[in-house]
Amino acid sequence: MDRRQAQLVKSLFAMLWADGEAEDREIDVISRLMERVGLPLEERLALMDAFLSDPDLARIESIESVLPDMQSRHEAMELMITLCFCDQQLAPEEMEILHQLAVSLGITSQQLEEIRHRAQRALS
Amino acid sequence: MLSFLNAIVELVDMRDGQVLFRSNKAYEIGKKVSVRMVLPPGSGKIANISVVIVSSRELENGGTLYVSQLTDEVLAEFSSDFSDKALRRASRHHLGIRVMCKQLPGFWGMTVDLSRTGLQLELDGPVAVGQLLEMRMEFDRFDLPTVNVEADVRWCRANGDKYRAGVQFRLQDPKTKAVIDQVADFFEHRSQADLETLLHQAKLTEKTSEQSKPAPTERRKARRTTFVIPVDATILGHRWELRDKRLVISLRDKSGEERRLDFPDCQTLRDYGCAYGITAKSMRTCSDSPLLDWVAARNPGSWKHYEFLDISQQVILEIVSAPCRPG
Repeated sequence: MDRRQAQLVKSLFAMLWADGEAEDREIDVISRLMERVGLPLEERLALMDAFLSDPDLARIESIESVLPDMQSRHEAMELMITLCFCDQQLAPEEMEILHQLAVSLGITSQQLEEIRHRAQRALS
Repeated sequence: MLSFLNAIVELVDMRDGQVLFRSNKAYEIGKKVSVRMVLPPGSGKIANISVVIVSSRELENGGTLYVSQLTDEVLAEFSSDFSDKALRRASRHHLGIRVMCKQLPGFWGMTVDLSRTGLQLELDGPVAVGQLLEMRMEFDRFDLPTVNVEADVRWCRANGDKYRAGVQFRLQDPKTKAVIDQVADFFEHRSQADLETLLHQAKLTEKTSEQSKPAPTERRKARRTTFVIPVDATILGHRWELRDKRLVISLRDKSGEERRLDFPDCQTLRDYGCAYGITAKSMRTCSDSPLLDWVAARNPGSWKHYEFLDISQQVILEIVSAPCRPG
C-alpha cells in the first residue's frame, strides 16, 4: 500500500467513526471504495478488521497527521473522486460517503464542486 | 361422481400445496384420490379435494396419517397456518443450516425447519421417498454438538427450481436421540425466551432484575463488537505453518487472483465445507463471543473470532486467532 492509499484509507475510517458508530451500509461502501483505491483483498480485510475493532486507530487527529494541509487534502479528495467516477458507476450511498469525507477534510461544497469538475475533465 | 359417499377424512396440516390427513381408510401410495374434509377447518363446510398420496404411517391410536400433494389450485386460499399439533409429533422450528449427506443431490441440503422427529430440507434435486439418508449437521455454535443421524425420506416435491423433502429421523440409538433432543431443546428455548434471557444464556450479559434496570435514557450504549466485512471470494483452502503457528487461508478474488490472509497464533479452526469451493460472501469478526471466552479460559490472549459466511449467511470456516493480517 503506498502513501496516498494509506492516507485515503485512514481518512475514510476517520470519517466512518466520526459519529461514533459504524453501520453495515457504511462498511459496505468503504469496502468498495478501498477496492477502487486499488487495495488487494487481503489488505482490505486486515485493515477493515483493525480499524473496525479499534476506532482509536482512525481518530480525527490522524487526518491532520497524514493530510496536514489543504493541498494534500484536495489531492486526496480528487484522487478518490477520480477513482469513483472512472467506471461511471457511482452509487448514491458512495456519493454520500464522499460528501461526508469532504466535510471531515474541511473541504467546502464549492471546493468539492471544483474538485469534481477537475476530476471529470481529467477523465474525459 | 358420487363423491358424497366418501368418508370424511381428518385434516391435520395443509401448507405449500401439501396436505396431511388422518383416515381409517387405506389409500395406495402414488395414487390420485378424492377425499372429503372440513375446509376451512372449523367451518363445518365439507370440501372434496383431489390429492396424490405420497406416503403414510400408522398412528398409535389407530388410523393412518397420509402425506399427500394437492392437485387443485382452487384450494390455495386455504393453505395458511392451520396445523393440528396434536398429530404432529413435535413442534417445528425454522432453521437454516447445511446438511451434508452423500445420498442427497450435490451431497448437501439446507434445512427449512427441524423438530425432534425430523426435518424439512431444501435440495438441488429430487430424492426418492423411502430413501435412507446418512446426514451430518453442524451448527454455527460451539455449544451445540455435530449431529450424525439416519433418516427416512417421507415426501419430496418440486418447489420452484428447487425441491423440498421431509425426512423422519431414525432414533433407535439413545445417544443420537439425546443429541437431537438437546438441539431441539435449544431451539425451543430460543423461540420462547425473551432477549434478555438469550443474552444471559450466551454469557454476553449478566441478567438484571426489573427493579435494578436503569431508566432507558441512562442506559450506557454498548459498543459494537461484531462486524461483517464484504469478501466475495472463493476459499481455495487453508494450510498450517507450524514454524510460526500461522494459519494461511488462500482465497480467489473476483478477478481470479489468488490472495492469502494470515491468522497468526491460530487457536481454533472449524471447516464446514471449504472442500466444496464455496464462495465466501463476507467475513464476520467478533471480539466478544462465548467461543472466545472458552478459548481465553484455556489460553489467555487477545484473540479474535472470525467466521467466513456464504451467501445464505451460513458459516463455512471459523477461526479463533490473533488479529488477521495480509499474507
